[in-house]
This record gives sequence, structure tokens and C-alpha cells, in this order.
Amino acid sequence: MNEQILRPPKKHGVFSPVLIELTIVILFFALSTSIVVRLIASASAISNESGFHARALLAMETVAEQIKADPAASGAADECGVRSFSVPVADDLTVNCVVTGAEKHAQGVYYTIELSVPDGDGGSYTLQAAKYVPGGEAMP
Amino acid sequence: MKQYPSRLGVGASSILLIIVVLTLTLFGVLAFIQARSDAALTDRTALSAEAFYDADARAQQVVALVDDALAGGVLPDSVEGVLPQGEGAYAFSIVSFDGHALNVSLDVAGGICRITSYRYESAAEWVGESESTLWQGD
Repeated sequence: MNEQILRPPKKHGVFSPVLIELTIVILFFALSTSIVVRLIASASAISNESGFHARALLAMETVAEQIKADPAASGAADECGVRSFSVPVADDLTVNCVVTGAEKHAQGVYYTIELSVPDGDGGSYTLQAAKYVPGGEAMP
Repeated sequence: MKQYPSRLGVGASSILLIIVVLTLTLFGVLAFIQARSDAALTDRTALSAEAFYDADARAQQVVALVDDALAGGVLPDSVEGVLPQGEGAYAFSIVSFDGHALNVSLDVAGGICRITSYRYESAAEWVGESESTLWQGD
């Protein structure tokens, strides 16, 4: 009987300060982490896009110089004088080329070269070049 | 079993959280700035390549016109921008939109247009540093 009287009464419904702090800390950490993860994901997306753009640009320049070396390609054009083909550079990168013998001059042909790489989101990166071939035969 | 009292009082977890969040934010912002910088560099490279190929296409057009002039028995300097540089030598310059110039020299001896020089250079005037910043010797 005396022991029950001396024992301090149990406290019900009182939170420990450490527990309250930990709860607030966890909530704030979750909130800030969601923002930081979004930031890092955005940075990753921008980095991937610019990396693909750089690779596409390099591929288009390489293909443009290859076409300029022989724009007529031994008369591989269609009836309209247009040569259209694709050059696969990598699994995710293909350069689409359209070569047109647009202007026939007195002593040569002026070819226009249009290159494009689809970016996978419905858009494309493009590059336009031209080459005059003196003495070259015009496309049919 | 004896229980030792925790030495971490109220506020320790908050300090730890602040350090972790600041570190995460720092790395996130650095990654974002780096990605933006890379994207801007790629855009500048693309613009530079586009400027070069645009100037190259216009230069090829001028060469074609010079060839036409030669075929028609007309002097090449009748083509706009083509200037005589000596006997049988002509030159012209194509300015690109990014501050470069494509300087082309032609040799038209024999009635055939032959490119002797095709240089893509900066059009900005080079300004040297003053001599006072260099060691002139004893």
C-alpha cells in the first residue's frame, strides 16, 4: 500500500522533446531531399541532352565532310536529282542526309546538303552545307 | 543491464540535418550549374559550326559564280566581292555571323577556277599586349 503511494504517477500524453525534434527533422529532411533530388534529376536531363546534341553535331559534321568529298556519289540520285539516305553512327544516333544537285552552272554543279538527327522527342538537330563541284555532272 | 544516458541532447539531430541538407544542396546546385554550363558550351559549338557551314556555302556559291564568269569570258572581279590580287589571282572574303571570316584565294589561270587558299579566321583585329608587361632583358 505504501509503495503504491510513493511511486510517482505515470505520465500519459506527454511527448519527449527529442521525439518531437526527430519528427520535425525527418519531415524537413524529406521535404528538402525531394527538392534536391528534383534538382539533380534536372541536371542529369540537361547533361544527357547536351551530350547527345554534341554527339549529333560531331556526327553531322563528319558526314557533311564525307558527302562534300563526293556529293554526286556516282549518280546515286533519284529522278528528281535528290539523293536521300541515312547514316547510322551509333545505336541511338542516325544522321539523315538529303543531297540535292540544286543548281547547274556552266562549269559545274552546286550541291546542297541537308543533314538532320532526330533527338527522340519529336524534334531534330539540323545542319546545312553546300559544295560546288567544278566540272561535275549534274544529277539527272 | 546498465543503461548509459545518451550524450546527444535536444538539437543534435537538427545540427546533423542542417549539415546533410546543406551538403546535398551544394552538390545538387554544383551539378546543375555544371550541366547548364555544358549545355551552353554545346549550343555555342553548334552555333559556330552553323556559322562556318553557312559561310562555306556562300563561298562555294561565289566560286560557282566566278566559274560562270570565266565560262562566259567575263573577268572574275565582275562577281560582287571578288577582288584582283595579281596576275590571274583573285580573292574574296565571306563574313560569318559569329565574327569569323572565310578568306578565299583563287587562281583563274587557264580559264579554270582553282582554290589556292581557304582560311576560316577570326575577323576581330588582334591587339597585342604592351611591351611593358614582358621582360626585356637586362
